[in-house]
Amino acid sequence: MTATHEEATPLSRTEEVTAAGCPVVDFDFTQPRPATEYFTVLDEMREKSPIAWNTFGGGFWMLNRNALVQEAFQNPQLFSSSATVPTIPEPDYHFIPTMENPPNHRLYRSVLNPQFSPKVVAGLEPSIRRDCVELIESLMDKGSVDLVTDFAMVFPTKVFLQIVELPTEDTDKFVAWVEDAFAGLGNPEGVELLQRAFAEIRAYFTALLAELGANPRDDFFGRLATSNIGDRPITDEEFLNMSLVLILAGLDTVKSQLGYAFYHLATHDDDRQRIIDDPSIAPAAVEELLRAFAIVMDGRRVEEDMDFHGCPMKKGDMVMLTLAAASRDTLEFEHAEKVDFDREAVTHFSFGSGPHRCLGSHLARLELTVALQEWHKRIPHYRLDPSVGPDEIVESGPQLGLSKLPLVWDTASVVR
Amino acid sequence: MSAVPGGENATLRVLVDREACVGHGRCYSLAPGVFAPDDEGFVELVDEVVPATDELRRQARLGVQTCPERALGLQEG
Ligand code: HEM
Repeated sequence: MTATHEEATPLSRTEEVTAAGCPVVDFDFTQPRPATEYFTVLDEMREKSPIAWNTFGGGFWMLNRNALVQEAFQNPQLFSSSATVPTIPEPDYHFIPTMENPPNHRLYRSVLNPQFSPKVVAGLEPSIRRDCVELIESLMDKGSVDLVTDFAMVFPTKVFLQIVELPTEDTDKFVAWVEDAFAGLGNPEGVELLQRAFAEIRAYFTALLAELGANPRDDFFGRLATSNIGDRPITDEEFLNMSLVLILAGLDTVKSQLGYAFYHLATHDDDRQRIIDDPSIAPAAVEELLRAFAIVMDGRRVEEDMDFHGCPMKKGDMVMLTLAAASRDTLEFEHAEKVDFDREAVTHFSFGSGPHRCLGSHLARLELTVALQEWHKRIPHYRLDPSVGPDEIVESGPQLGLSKLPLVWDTASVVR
Repeated sequence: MSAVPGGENATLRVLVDREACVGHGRCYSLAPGVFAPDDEGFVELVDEVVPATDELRRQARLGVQTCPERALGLQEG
């Protein structure tokens, strides 16, 4: 035995991490699990492993506590957005503004922020309420729906098309594109669907751009097409890229969040009764449901070798910012794992934090609030369809969302 | 009687770190008497000095405490 030789095989990443005293986990976020189980699994992981090296995929770090996630969000020079899916460290795509870094990132946000600002969004409330009521009235005599496909997907799509002044007749087209795109995320068989959806969205916006060139308009996409990025005009490529990102970021997220909100309310009569009795608590309820069910498993890329709270991170490593674990952090909140509409001040990262904090948060909050208020005014009492087994409603990452949510109610209990 | 720092009559000022604000909007949603959004959704103050009412002082503290970026502070006296 010549153990003195210097040729010993280098430590594997897992051995290196273990040697440094950091926990190692094997966590497959793509596996379908029964509704809300991911939140419980991540609650357990957070308590044992504030930071962990996950051997799944190509291997990546997980930050599971609120303070650690915030540190990463606030330090884009160390944790960059050049890659944001934990299993894809070298993406062959680039999304704007999602994957831009400071200082350029700010130039894009300056163009987008004013269009989704709290003031602009507040002005849209009457039209959002109208769309919502119309949709609920078309469903209430049915006595049963799949809330996810019949309501949660359609409502944000309609609202979005209204706001950006595209024809609402295109709702079905957008719904199908978004479903295909997300079916292809984290699922190799779906890649073709995803690519086709991307190509069709691109073709739609290419045609729109040509139309806007011929007949300039002062609406959302008209303004985007003629905007300046810093001191130069936006390029066609940037316009098409940002349009795609808005569609991908703004529709499926609201759908998923609505799914969890209604799942909770269908299974917790006391909380539902409170919204029925007092619709003015809806904004607080929405905030708490956002906290308790943070759907995005976000990602960042490490840009320097460093010791991060005792863990050896290397340039090029991927990091998952586990928002679902962080926003239920027991160090941050009392009875963190419970939904409690009476929390006074909730600070959560369900919309992210730092420079990339969600562009559409004000719109999303309003959509969710209006949906809870208008639904419970008309369909106050509903429950999970008892003929559907609890294991048939499933969820998986990297963007958590329920596969379906079959609800039933007595049509005699509907309020007209 | 002179105003004591921290006392009931002390002047209360909100300090804003504009570089740190990313527009979460918790302050102006929870404490609209003290904070307001600008045209991009970043924070603005309704008044530089918080008017000396219990309600607005309560709001100022709540808004400051809720800021996820710790971009807000209070100065008494
Ligand atoms: C409840 C619904 C929503 C949730 C939970 C959500 C969540 C998030 C999160 C966590 C991020 C940060 C991503 C990162 O830092 O890597 C983000 C960014 C973003 N969101 Fe949302 N979002 C929602 C609704 C919307 C809506 C309605 C829009 C439509 C305008 C939208 C547009 C965007 C855009 C464009 C970004 C990228 C911002 C940037 O990189 O600067 N989101 N969202």
